[in-house]
Amino acid sequence: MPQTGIEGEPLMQMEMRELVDSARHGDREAFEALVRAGSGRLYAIAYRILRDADLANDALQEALVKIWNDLPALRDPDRYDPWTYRITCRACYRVAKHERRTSLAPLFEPSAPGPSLESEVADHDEMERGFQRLSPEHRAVLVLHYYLGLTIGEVAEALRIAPGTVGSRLHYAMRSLRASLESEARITETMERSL
Amino acid sequence: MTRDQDLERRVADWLSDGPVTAPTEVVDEAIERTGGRRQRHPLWGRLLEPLDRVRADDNARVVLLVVALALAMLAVLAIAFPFAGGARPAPEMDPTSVLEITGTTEVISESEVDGVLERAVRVLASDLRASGEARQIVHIEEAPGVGLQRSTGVMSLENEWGAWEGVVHGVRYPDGSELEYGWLVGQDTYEGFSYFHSTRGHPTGTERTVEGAIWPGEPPSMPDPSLLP
Repeated sequence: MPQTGIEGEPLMQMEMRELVDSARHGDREAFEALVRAGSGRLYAIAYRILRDADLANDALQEALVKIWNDLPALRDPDRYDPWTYRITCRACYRVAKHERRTSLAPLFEPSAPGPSLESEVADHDEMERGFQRLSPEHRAVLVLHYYLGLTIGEVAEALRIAPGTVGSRLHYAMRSLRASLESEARITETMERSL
Repeated sequence: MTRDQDLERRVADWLSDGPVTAPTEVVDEAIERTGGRRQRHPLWGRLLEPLDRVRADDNARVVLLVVALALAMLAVLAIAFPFAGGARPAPEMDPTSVLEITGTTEVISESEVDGVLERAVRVLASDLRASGEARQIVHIEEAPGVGLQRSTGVMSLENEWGAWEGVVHGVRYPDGSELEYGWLVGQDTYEGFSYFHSTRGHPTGTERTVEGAIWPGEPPSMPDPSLLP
């Protein structure tokens, strides 16, 4: 699972299980240790679904508070990670729904790139626009699969949806992205021809 | 590298770009907010906790008392539950019948930029399974010389029990009326079923009428849309 570059000291499986178990029984220090180790990953997920730093902050806060509140209901400490992904994704859905009227704005605004960066930035912006056309539910599946590297089965378990639904959402999301990118490419080609 | 693999690589590269560190103040504030809060213990945990205690005390009379209390609580819940509001029960699927569905759609948002139409609509259908919020992203193309436009794209219709997802095709006539159809694949509760969805938009007004049918099994195989006239 490609989690390199994601903040937080990695916890050993045993240590993790003990911390989760202690936190389930109200140990706040254990909870804090879990949060310090894992909040970078949850923030990375929230940011990539919502594409906005402020909204990601809101979603992360909501998720962390819910994790603390609901920890006693987590029966298997080994499932802590996928459980926190689910809570974070659901917090993102709620935040996105709340913000739906004011469309989700991209964080990365291109700032006068040099010639060597032009194509890279253009590619980045095209992808950003395509991604923004997807629903938060479709974005979540892309993020868990292509960013966290979870398998379709693991995404299904994390989001508590059928593996078929994960496959279908991935298919829909990739097809939509391809449609957006091809549309942008056609426009660029037409503009270049007219010059 | 195939087109799909290339797109997957681009998506993965693009997603890898972005923050991986949570702002410290956000994490601190969240931890602080949990400070005065008690955790929510699930009902089963609260019921089993006294049992654990009395088992340790080996006090058979208390065990019996707790079990009796738990049974009494379950009895109260069993009686009260049908009268409580709660979530609506998931609609049941009938595996043998084809159900005729009618309804209307109401536009929530719609934008058309450079031939790509993105539309979100609320569907109110005669069957709960075909009601919900539908999202579409379709390409619109002019048919040269005849004044028609044709559209091809993807659609998902979601409600609280599941979703229908698939490809839709349509045509827009010169008078402004529209016809669109698609076979959608059922997800979650609707898995194993397909939904034939068609909408008709009238020259005047934004409301569209819906007709469709829920079908047990997969959608029929469709020809490549690019081969259609």
